[in-house]
Amino acid sequence: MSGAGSGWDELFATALVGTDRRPPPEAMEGAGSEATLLDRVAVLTACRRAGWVPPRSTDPAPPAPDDDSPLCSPAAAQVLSLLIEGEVRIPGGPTAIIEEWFRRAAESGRRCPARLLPAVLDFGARLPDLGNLVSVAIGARGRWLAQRNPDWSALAATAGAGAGAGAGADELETLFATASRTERSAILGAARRRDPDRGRELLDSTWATDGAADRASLLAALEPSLSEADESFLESVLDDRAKSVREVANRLLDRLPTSRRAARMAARLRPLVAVSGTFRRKLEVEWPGEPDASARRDGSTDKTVAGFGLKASWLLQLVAAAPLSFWPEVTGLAPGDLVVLAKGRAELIEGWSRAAVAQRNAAWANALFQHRPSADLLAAMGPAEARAAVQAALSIKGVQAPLLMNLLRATPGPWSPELSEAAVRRVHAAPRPLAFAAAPVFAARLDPSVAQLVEKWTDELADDPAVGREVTAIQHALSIRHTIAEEFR
Amino acid sequence: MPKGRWTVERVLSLAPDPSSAKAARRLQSPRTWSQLGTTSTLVWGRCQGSGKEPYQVTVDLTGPAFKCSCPSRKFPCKHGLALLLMWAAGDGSVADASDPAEFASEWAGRRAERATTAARKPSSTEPADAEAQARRLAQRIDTMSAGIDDFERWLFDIARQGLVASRRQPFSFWDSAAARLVDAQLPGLADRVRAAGGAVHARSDWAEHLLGELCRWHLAVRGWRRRDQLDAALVADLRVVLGWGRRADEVVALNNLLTDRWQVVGRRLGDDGRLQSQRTWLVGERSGELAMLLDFAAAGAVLPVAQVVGTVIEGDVCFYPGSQPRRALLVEGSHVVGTASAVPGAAPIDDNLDAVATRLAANPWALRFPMAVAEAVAVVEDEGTVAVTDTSRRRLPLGPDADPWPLLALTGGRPADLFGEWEDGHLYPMSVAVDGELAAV
Repeated sequence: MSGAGSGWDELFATALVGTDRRPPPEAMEGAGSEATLLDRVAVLTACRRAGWVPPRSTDPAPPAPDDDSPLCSPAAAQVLSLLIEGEVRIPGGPTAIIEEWFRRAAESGRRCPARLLPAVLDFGARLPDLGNLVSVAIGARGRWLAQRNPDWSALAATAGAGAGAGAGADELETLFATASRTERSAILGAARRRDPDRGRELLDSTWATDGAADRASLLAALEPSLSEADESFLESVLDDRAKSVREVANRLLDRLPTSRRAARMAARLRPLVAVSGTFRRKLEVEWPGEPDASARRDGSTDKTVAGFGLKASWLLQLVAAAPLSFWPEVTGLAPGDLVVLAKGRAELIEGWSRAAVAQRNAAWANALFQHRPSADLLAAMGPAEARAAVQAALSIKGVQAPLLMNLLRATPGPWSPELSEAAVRRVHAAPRPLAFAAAPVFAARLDPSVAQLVEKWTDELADDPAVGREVTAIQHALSIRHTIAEEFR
Repeated sequence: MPKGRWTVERVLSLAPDPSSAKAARRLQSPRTWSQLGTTSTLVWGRCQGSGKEPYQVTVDLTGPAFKCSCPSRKFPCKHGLALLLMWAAGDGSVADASDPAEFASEWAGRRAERATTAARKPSSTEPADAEAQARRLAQRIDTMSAGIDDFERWLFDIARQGLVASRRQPFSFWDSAAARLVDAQLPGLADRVRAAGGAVHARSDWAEHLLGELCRWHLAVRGWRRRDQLDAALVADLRVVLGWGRRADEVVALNNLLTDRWQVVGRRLGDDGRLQSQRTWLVGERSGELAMLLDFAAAGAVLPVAQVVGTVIEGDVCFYPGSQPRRALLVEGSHVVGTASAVPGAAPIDDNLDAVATRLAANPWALRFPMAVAEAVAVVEDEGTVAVTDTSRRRLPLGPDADPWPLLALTGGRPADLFGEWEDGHLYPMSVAVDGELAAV
């Protein structure tokens, strides 16, 4: 159709302003200008629509690499789909069980089917801590897919070994020096995971010019993978201008009992500690005097700990920061004996508790736990020890509901059949509200072998439908976890 | 799993909403059920609910069609879904039987009766009624003609004032024109006028879009005036634009039947705020004919159970008059016979666009076209948009609300045959053939 292009532009211009202002070209026989315009435009529009040629596309990205890991079973896929789509009610949410699915899948080297990938990636993006597990379970295709969508970039990054993974040394330093604050935390974290020493050097590279707030937050990133190799750097930070930065350094040094600071703390304690008596031992620990400059540099403050006076707080700080090996060395007594002898000196117990957690000292944690069960101490024990300690605590009459719940929540799963049975019996016998509080923990960590015990519990709840529903939900969760275990055997 | 039974996923895809699926799963324990059984076409059982009498639940697999004595208004209800879930699981709870339970065979019998009477029933009007009908028809045509004349005057007003001026009009300008069209029994035009009024402020290409609509309305006016000289298919298309619908029994009476094995190649939902719609596309294995099933539901109501994408249905399809691709009804008595493994008629993008041009020439008011693209690859572009291309490297952008991730996940970025709808310069994928299976996307 010759001249169709310019014809269209004219007609379009006429249409925009209207035929009153701009008459259309050559009115047709017997037709008004409106009809003429519309007739012509109708024909041209049809031609334009029919003759439309799509533009060129860019070349598509390389397709996903072939997956070499086998698919999970259809039953496992179905369970995953149910959990991710939220179609089953799990007390406390499905996250913990989904985590378990991914962990078992990763361990048995199986991946989820392609059709579930978008939902899995959406889920994984909401929970960055699961990053590593998810990136194994999604297979090569899933990792390829994650890189295509900016919403899933966090997962793609984990798969690709972290932000700044491919960068050389100089590049990395420049990247670190010029990125935004949140990005720098991520880069430092990733670098620390790959090579802790390199990570520390990276932090050091900008230390002199960083502001106090940056120094404090980046220093805290040293905490995972903290080791004695970091001691020198941290010791030097104790002279930092900013209090917030020194506080972080002191907190980190709490975790290094072989550090110079720890030795200084021990030296401060030495003159205060004595053991008297031959037959019936007595432990005497005097209050320290006011902290001097060196002690203040090491973190001693006048800020009292809740429930303790000024001098007791000073002592507590020393005890919390001194290496736990000090006590048996100086007194010749084992942790268990020391804890017994310290009865009445709450600041000693509290100081030792903090030291046990910071120094990850299982022997002390156990001894303190025997004396007085507390959820914090469980973190210092290995998982099996923690489970054994809690199992013992469950049979102690004096352990009441709030403490019981804290203990159960802090006990890492999966629980042994014995611990599971003890926990179910204890909560079953406890007042009603405890069942609601316990349901999320039970759903995620009980060993599926106690399913029958839980079923018996349900049977007794006919007259209490609210609790009955909760416990039934626990049953369903256990059944799902049993399926997961079976399907990944 | 016993041969011929459905997968659990297939059953779950029939659930009208996620809470039904959840509820159905909870009902699966065999303790609440009795008298379970299945033949090759029926599944049945009795479910103890909260009432005194157990609910009688039957499923006719050839539909699928559900019958339950519970008071739920959902369709299918959780009991029907739960029954099918247990049947699909194949763990022996729903065993093969030679004779259905009485309540099941009674209902199946009544269904068969209704199917034959529906097929047999002509518009059985007596002579006196026929006269009244003719009068009503004449009246309707008069009303519509008057409405068309009025509409043309409104249309010409816009042509005189120009598009820019009409954009400055308040929404009542469009809304009252639409109301007049509804009064004149032209609801299809009314919908398009209202939509255009909204689009004028919502689209960056508003002028071109509005001009296109004005032309189509103008053609509708022209078409109406010359309707006696147009061929039947074009008149049928015109009736669709104007909104002069046809009842299902009218269509059946036209007897434009085609028997074939129909592959269900795609399903797409629509929602314009007032009405939900559901289009299901079928392709005949032997005839290669395309049929489009169209269901409606008012906002808040439940759409009828759709055919499952990827299944093959043996049965009769009854076509509406009109040009290709034609709307159709699936006649009762059709049943699933297998699964589809490929996209039928897949062709390069250029061929598909040629087909669009041909269809446009036949029906200038068509807005939506089926596309079967061979060796389609999804491309994620730098700005985050997604397009589909083939070996020719022509680019078809995906619709702004189309979800590209299921497509990318299933194909892994490799070429695969794809079926979708082409609308307003965008592609909306509905299914893709991977690993010998046709999967919905």
